[in-house]
Amino acid sequence: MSRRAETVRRSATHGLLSLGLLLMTAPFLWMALSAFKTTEDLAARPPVWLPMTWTLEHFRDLFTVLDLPQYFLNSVVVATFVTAGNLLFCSMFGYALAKLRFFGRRPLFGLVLAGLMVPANLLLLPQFVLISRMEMLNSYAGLILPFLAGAFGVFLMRQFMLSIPDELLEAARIDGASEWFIFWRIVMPLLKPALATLAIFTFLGSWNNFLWPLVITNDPDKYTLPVAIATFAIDPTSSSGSNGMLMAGALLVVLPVLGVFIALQRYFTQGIATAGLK
Amino acid sequence: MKLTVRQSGALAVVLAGSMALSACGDGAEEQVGAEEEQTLTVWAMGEEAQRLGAITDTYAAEQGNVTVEVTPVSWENVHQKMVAASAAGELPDVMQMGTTMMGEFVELGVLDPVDTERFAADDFFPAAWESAEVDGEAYGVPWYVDTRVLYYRTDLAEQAGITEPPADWAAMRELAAAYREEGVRWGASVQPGGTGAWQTLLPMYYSAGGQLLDDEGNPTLGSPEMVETLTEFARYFEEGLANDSVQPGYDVIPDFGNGDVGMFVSGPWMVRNIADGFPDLDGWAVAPVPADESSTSFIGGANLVISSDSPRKEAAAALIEHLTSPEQQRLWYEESSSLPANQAAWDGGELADSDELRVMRGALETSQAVPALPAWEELAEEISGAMESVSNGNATPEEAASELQSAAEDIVG
Amino acid sequence: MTSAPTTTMTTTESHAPGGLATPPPGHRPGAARGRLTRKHLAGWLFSSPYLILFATFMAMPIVATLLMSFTDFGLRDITDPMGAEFIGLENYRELARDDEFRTALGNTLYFVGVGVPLTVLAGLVVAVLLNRGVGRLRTFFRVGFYAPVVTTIVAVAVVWRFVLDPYDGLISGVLSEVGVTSPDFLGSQALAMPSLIAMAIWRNLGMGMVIFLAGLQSIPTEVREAARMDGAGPFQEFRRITVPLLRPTLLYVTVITTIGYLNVFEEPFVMTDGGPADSTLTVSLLMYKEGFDFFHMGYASAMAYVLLTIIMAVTLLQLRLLRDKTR
Repeated sequence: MSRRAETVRRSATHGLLSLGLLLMTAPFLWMALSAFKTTEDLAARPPVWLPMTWTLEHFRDLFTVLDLPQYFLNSVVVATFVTAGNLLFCSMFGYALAKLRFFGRRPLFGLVLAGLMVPANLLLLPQFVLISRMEMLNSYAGLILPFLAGAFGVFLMRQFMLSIPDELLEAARIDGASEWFIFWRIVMPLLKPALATLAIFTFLGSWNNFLWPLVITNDPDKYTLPVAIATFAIDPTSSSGSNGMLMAGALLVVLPVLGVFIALQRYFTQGIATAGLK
Repeated sequence: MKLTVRQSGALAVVLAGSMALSACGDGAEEQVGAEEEQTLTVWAMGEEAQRLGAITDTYAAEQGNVTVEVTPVSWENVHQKMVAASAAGELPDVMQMGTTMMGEFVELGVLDPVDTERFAADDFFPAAWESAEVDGEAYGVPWYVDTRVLYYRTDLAEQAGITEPPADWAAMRELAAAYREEGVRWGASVQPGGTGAWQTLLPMYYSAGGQLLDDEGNPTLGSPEMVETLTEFARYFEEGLANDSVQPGYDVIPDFGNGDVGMFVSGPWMVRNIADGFPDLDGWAVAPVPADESSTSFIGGANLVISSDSPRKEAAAALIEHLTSPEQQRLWYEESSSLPANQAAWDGGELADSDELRVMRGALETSQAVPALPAWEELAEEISGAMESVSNGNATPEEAASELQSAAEDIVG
Repeated sequence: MTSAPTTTMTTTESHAPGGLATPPPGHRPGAARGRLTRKHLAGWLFSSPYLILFATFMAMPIVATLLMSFTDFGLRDITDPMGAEFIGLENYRELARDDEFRTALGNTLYFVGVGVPLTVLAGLVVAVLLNRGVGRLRTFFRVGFYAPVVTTIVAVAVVWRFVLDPYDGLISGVLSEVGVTSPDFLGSQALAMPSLIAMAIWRNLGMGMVIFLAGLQSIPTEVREAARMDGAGPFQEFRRITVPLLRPTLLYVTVITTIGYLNVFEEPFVMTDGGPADSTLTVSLLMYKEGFDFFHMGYASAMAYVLLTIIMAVTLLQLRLLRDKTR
């Protein structure tokens, strides 16, 4: 392929992506900019993109009404445990489903799919009663345990494990490696991109989870960040006034998730080592 | 057919956590006396909980033996949270409860009846007290109230040569048309349907002399008054005076402030919202909802209720007594701008002096409550649906009213 | 393997004390049966943490909801579940007669039928473009395309309302430049659903992109280079190399997106609340209203199980069509 064609292709790619990028990021930018707008700017019609006057008042308000460090800590603890649990348990189960031809494998995979399909909203009430019977209301355990291993993750890991050649594992088995060794030392290192993906989604899901922490925590000390912000910053009786606080809160909630994404996205390119396998 | 033994067993295991819990709480045999050492748990909404916390701290310090723990709950999800807590028997001692939620939680059987020796109905706005009543028994004490009033742009009205607030329906429509002449995009903002649209219709319907239920508690939504109300409502769209497109989450303030909407009917919080969003805007005022038979708005707000499981009912009632006393109510108004439910609180200070507040008080005295129905949400959605079918021309007011009536009979009956 | 009885598993447990933590002595020549049972045992041991959690926190609530769907479970029964009356299939029969439910079902299928192919395709295209290298800006682009996924739904709703506003909105602004009056997107029964689909594509594209990016890493560069040597253009490379090799990932994204879209709730909930005139009412939204606003829990549960059945059927069909060879 000629160099010129290559250049043209590159610029076309760049152009397309930049256009897409503009469309995609607009709402995020809107949220970020709105957090710094005065109440008056927020009420302007037609809406203005850039704040006329930049203000930190919404952040100040948030920090005065909220014990942000505490809620931040709660969210971090919960999201970290949930992510770690999903990475381990979903990989293990996914490995079994993809690579171990054991009795009962197919129905179990069906179970995973079913778990994926059940509308979560409707399980809320029975789950709540269950957790309250287990005396786990207002506890980290109650916030973490029900989400420690999700069907989404199992399905994801299974699909990625399917692409690992069986020959590789068979060879290790013949050499006398235990299943745990094969899983932990051979399969897992190959799955960094998949693990990064799962970590990103699980962390996001747990961090943004709203309904469950809202329902099972009555003690504000155990509120997670989104619950705290929704509780204190949304006041339906003052729409435009609190919009700024809401946007500031939304921005604060989103930043850590974005951080996790930025930290992990480099693994998408590190999986190339897989190529040398076969 | 009743559940089989096994099915019942499974249901019981998973769902009936509440059985055991509520069973031991119900009897109230373990009541703690008001003077004993105890901690009261209170659920209140968002920002109000913050402010309430400061007040209860002072109260606790005065009492000595009582500690009060206020938990803030978000408005958006308070319903789910309370239902879930009811199911597990985990409700707090005292709750703030929106007036339209009363019927539902009385039906759930989780609220304790109010001791009428202690709280006198006459102290409160009559409609506020009624909002907490089911079959003549009160289940909550009114804490604060709100009502619907008309907000209109006086400056734009003056340009059109109108200097008086619209007193009746015809005048309101004339004002809307006059606004249009002056280049205002929408003469009035009238919610054409969608979530919460019933709040627009109800003051009109009450003003037309309509009732939601008759004395026996049967729905009367197919009444001539309903047809009349829907007809009037439809005119705003037929004559192009109001936007007939449903805009969910619509915030009227920017349009009002920028002169794109001439008037709207809403609650007292809008006073603050207009001032926040448009601090320099002077040309607006508040008036009672325009009259037909009468000017009758509807009353909203929140009551304070006690959970029937609470073992601390004495102390809980004492706290509510404190919060609904005239002095505390006035203090609460200063803290939160919430209008006092206790009428005596209005006799002094800013509450007696401000023009807007005088209008509100007048409206409150004549307002009617939404009856405490268990299935209120469902009925409200039917009303909003009927409005939408009228505003988009799918049904005539007569058709919509009769359909609404038959839907209401299914729901309430 | 079909004949392996469960009892064998229990016997083998003694051969491998401590389970997985201490690797069992693996290589045992001639012990074919031992290896086989070892596989069953390992399979179950690897599965057990998930299964225990699932059984505890999911299975019971799922069963409870199923039982509820055969009762008239309503508001009153929240505090007294035993009071709910068993009414057999009445809820399901009622559903068959319910016009609102039929509308919701139709809307949901519309949303899925149009939304899923577009979302998956958009995610794939973006991933492929990003993967072929945009140099140092790579991270920047990835973050940008992922931004909608992390943006809080409240902020999304505010911005999209602004975008779609027929008077002061972004689109109406552009249209008025060329002298066209903007349609009332969310207020129109014909345009409300397409608007929500556009929003859903925008919101979910980033998720597909991330999974595809991860999946693309498993395609060896040599294969690509070989194809290019053979003179394959970018489009051919995409069709003949990328898509086939990405099949498990593609299947995954399609299935996940379909399931997610069949459960679509947030978009109509924050944007239209099902209106205008029920034109964006989806099954999940209706279920939420019936269950949590009106507390017809029995009826809502029945709705959930009808939806579940549909989702299962669609998923199985997809697994078959996209031929998950390894199953």
